Amino acid sequence: MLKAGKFGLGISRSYTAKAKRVVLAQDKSKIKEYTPKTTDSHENRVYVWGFQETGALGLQTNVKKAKERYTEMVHHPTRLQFSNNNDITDVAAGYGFTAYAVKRDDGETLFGSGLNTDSQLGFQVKGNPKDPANLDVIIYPTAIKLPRVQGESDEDMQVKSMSAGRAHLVILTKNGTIFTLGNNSYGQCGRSIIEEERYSKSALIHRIPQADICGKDDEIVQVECGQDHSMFLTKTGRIHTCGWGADGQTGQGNYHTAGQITLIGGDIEKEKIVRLSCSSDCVLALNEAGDAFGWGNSEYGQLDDSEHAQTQINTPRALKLTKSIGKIKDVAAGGSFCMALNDQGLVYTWGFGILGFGPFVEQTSKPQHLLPPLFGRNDFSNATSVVSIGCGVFHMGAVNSDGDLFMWGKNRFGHLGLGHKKDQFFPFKAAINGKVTKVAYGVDHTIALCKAYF
Amino acid sequence: MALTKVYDAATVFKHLNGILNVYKPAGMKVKHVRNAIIGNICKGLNEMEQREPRKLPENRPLLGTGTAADHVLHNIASQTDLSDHVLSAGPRYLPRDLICTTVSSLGEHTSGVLLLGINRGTGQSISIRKNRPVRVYHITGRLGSATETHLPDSRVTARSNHRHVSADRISGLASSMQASHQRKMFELCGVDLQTQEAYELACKGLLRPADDSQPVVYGIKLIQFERPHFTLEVHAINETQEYLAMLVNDMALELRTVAHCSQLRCVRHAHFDVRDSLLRHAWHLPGVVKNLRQQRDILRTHPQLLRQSRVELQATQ
Amino acid sequence: MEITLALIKPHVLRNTYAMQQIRALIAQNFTVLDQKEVCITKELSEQFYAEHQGKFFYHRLTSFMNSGPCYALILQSEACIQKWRGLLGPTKVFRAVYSDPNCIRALYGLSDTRNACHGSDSEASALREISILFPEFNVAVANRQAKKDTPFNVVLPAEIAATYS
Repeated sequence: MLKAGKFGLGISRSYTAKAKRVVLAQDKSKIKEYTPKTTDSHENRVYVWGFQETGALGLQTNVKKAKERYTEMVHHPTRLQFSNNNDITDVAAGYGFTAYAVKRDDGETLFGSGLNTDSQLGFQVKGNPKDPANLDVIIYPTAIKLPRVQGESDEDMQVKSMSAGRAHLVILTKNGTIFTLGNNSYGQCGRSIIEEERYSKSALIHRIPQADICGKDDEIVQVECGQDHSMFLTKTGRIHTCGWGADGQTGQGNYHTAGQITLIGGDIEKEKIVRLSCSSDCVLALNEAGDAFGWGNSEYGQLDDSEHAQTQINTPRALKLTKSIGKIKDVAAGGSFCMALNDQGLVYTWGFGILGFGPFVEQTSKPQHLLPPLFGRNDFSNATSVVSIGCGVFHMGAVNSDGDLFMWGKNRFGHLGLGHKKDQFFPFKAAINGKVTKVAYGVDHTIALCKAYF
Repeated sequence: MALTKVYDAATVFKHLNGILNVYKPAGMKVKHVRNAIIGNICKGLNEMEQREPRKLPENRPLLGTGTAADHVLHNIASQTDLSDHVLSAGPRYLPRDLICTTVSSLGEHTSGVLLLGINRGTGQSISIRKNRPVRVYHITGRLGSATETHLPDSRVTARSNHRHVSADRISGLASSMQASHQRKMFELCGVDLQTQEAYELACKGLLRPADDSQPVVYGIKLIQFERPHFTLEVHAINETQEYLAMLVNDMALELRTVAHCSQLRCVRHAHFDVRDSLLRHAWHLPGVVKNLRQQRDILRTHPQLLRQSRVELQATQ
Repeated sequence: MEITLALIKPHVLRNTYAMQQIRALIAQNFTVLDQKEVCITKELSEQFYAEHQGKFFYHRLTSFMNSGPCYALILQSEACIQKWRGLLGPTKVFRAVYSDPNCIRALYGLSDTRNACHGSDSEASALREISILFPEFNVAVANRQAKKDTPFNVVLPAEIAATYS
């Protein structure tokens, strides 16, 4: 009865008498062959959740059906159908809209869904007579045609970096061209402001060669949008900005609106900046040595906690608050709070809101770290640590080395993806079937780019 | 204390209390293991020096027959009570004289650590069960064929290709399942997520479930992959054989193939390791007594096994 | 009955769903006397927010209003100034989302400046703000109209009145 199974020799099966009759008498030729569906051969999967009514999630394919099924919010991370047929390489979330960078055979590289009231998803026409007359809302990802000059190939048009604001979208392509779409009432599209310009149903996509911004010797590596301003980070660590500066978020040393893309200085003048983060009006930047810099809105003491601190900082300055937390690896700036990740994998939060320390909404200017067990470190996985952080205007998130996404904060329209409407007061794992590689945090929706397990 | 050799069964029986760690072979039911152990204990006891049969009380009025045989009868009656003799009363120790409870049951196909509480060890076995310690399993799955019960001795229901499965993929999936189970653990420990209490518990890490209604998996790790077999190390509470077999099946579906569970071995139950486990050839009285002593030492070094005050889980290494 | 000015800010006007919800809320609670889409120019908003001049947010408030067309409504109901401000919730959106999660600002506001809607704070400022955005609107006429609308004071059209006499 006791049989020692050995690896290598194969494991012997032991049967009870009844099992023997049933199993050994089975007709082996009739066993079905299981061939799993392999429609989805793409590396990346996209999960979306949050507020659905704006169409930003791109889950509906049919307006009529969308009306029948009343699903205003999607509480659980849901697989985006569009990602099954397309190889999505990057995502960006704005206020009520989403942009997807796609690799495709037919040469389209950029898709978008959601609100299009300011033509932030380009000029869309009725392709099908059944389509709704109202094209202010695009419910399924639709191609955004980027205007090309002669000789630009599909490869040149691949998206290198992109970011979305309240009603504008900034794209950086492989060949170093910047495209801006949408609202330009503050010059956030990097062109001069036209009084009483109509943005709705506008076909205008502004095109800026990177040489115009940073010269021939440098190149732009990252674009980042606040709600109403845009920033461009170059390879040598310089930052150029344009857009609304009423809180000083352009960092140009004044509070004006700027339609002209300008190089900014202040404390970062001689620093090599490697990361830039902004979701609303407060900006954080990180240099190569791991020091943080900030500018813009500081009404909740995010950037400065001294007694007579300015609430609007219009020139980049080195942060004193974060001096004590060691070498910083990643930063993220939300609406009323900030986050930083140090080289030991500890997540620090400060500012105002649900900072992750229990059910008290709090305001603090002292960065405090969240304990590693909250991000999945325990006796069974003691090497797990946080590798990247990010935040939207009202919520925060962190991805650990196992590829799990943890979210906390205000649960606006279910954009924490925890399956309910209640706020989450400490990091909690979102149920996503895949290793999360990138997360785009919108104002009321969230999108995660994942790798499948098989 | 100097060790003295004991020859009489009564002394041994008196000390036959505590927790016993038995290696349960696969394909044998817990009931049968228990019966075999108890049978062997009784056999061992009965082979030892037995107590003498009872003496009959002296000066018992005997009904004499009035013949010369009276004297002989008197003699017999004054010496021993023959009705108490082994040959007339049967063996001194019967299986029903021993109390034996299992700390937790293992399925038929599972092998490995099985804890039994013997005689006065029943109380201990109940407290261990109530503390819900973690059990560690090594589960071997066989890729390529699915069976009805997900266990090896049932009909094969589907076959599939598994060339695309690699060790990386399995361990990636395992770590994700581990995190998801840890999330579920929160819902099962019976705290409202919106409270300060929940935050404080979360900071401590892993929690024990509040009741034994739901299986909770704490850790899943791939420890060996040799196509078509893969072995997982699973740390769990409240699990059953069927649940673990289902886990293998679900993992395979997630990996876009099928599999069934070909071997299950419980390698640790709380601090009771498979290395200290009593193998089948040692299921005899000296073995049992020796094992009882070993487990008593383990219990002495880890008193929290019997009395648990903390809600968070510690690793049992 | 009181009247007040409700001004829906540009970013909500663009969000069709939010606009729908706010309109429904208004229809439920108030009588709308007049409404129109207005483009608030820099000059107009400086006039509008004259009371805030000198505060640190004055510049960003006035510059935000001209990011696109706004939607202005004149609302009427009993104690409508308080009622509308109650529906709006606290001015600071980041605080409102926690203290008063179901108010308009918590639901559709984006930041302390982009706080969805504006409501007059007193009768005097309501009249002042209405006169800025609706120069053609005659408050006295509206008041008279409102009186006529009350059920106890029904004025019958001439021909019906004639048949009764």
